[in-house]
Amino acid sequence: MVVDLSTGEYDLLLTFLEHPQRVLTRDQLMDAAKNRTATGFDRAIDIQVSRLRKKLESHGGPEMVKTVRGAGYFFVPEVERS
Amino acid sequence: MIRALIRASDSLAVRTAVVAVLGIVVVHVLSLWTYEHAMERERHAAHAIRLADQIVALRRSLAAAPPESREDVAHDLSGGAIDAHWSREAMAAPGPHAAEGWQRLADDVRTLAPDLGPQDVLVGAGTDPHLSLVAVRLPDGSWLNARLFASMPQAAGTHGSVLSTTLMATGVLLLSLAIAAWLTRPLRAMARTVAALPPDAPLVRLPETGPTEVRELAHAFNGMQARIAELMERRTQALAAVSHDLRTPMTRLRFRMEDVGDPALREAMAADVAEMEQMVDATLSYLRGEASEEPVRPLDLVALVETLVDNARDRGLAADLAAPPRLVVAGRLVSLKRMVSNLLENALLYGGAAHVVLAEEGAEAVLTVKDEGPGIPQDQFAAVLEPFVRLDTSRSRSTGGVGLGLPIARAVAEAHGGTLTLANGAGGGLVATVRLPKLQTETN
Repeated sequence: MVVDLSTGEYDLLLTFLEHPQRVLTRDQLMDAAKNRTATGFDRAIDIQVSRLRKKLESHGGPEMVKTVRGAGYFFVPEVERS
Repeated sequence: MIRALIRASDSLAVRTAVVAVLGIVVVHVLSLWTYEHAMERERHAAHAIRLADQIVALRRSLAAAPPESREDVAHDLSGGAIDAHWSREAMAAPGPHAAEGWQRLADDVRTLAPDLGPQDVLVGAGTDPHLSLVAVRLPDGSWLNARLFASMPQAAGTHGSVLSTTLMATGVLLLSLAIAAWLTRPLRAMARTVAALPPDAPLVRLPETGPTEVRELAHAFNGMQARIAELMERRTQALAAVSHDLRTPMTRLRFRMEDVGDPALREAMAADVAEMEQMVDATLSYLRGEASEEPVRPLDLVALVETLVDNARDRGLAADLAAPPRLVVAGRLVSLKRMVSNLLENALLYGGAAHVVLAEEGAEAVLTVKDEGPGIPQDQFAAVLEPFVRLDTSRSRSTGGVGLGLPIARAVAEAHGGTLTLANGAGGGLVATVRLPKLQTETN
């Protein structure tokens, strides 16, 4: 199954995959997105995360990206490198 | 009804059947007529001989009987077509009305009784051609007078022959329909094969089998197909080569622009060059059909459209999307993305907004992109789907583009076994609808 991601979403997913099961703050995520979302507001990263979450979880899978109130986001699945 | 009949008679099978039945009917009717005619003559002849026989036998009997009992004998022997009487006088006088048939009877009687002279057999006919009086002289000079009825035995079995003819015609009709259907089967199979070819099908060779004519047709078709494909290939290559070669001078131009002192001029030139590059890219991707090398994979159409709509919104454009959570089709990501992006860009560029709806309809995924522009005239729908066609209204505006957006979108839709149709929305605006076969998903 191919799920098309925008560049911003792709960068986000990459960041999550590199740091699975850790709480990532909005600042960290924004850095990882290489200022692609030029606005610099927290809202922008929230939108990107919600878009990514929707695409990843629309396929009936379990919850993948958890919101940690007041802190940031948490990527649930375990990641294996091969 | 009549139109349906005419349409049915268009079929080769029906025509063949009609020709066969017509032929059979003509031959049958002719032979039936000949046969009936011969039979009729035969029956007439037999009847006449029998009458003559009977008359001669009567005459012999009367001659053998004593004169006083002759009338009784005559009466006793009457019957059938003969009503005989005996008298001293000849009751019949040869008249002008003596029908030819009756005249022959006189000849027959004379043949059977050679002792009778020409004046000894008299035939008189009344005004009714079915009645006749025959007078035959007995050896003693008295006369046998016979009233004859021309009661011909009716031809039996006329109904039977009509019935058999009808049955035969029906049988021949059914048989010839079946045979004609069998004969034209290769033709119909061929038509089906050709009609089923996908629009962008590469060379498909028809099997050259069947009757000679069909084989020749298939052969000619294959040849023509090969020639057309070759021609198109050469054209495409030429156009692709030109487009490709344009890239080099454009790149050089881009470098030389750096030396232009006026920043406003330089920016304008850069924009022009960028536009040219875009056109060349679009042309090349259309000509190459871009898609063909990319593998077909199951992909989520919703995610794909979401990305493009989100991007447009991030650019501050009026795009929105209504979609189910997921909609999976089998396709090539890059070309499908180009298709959706082309429709979206068109809507945003010419219609000022893009309202995108994704939906499932039976076994199809339906994507509609509606804009808020003026729409396009109904009679231009076909034209704008042709490559390099731009409507005059868009040419005069400085909207750019080469007129490949919709043709590429359509080519992609069709390459995925789908369709692209245009319509003007109820409340104005152009509606582009893409229908793609949905992937029957078993698992993810």
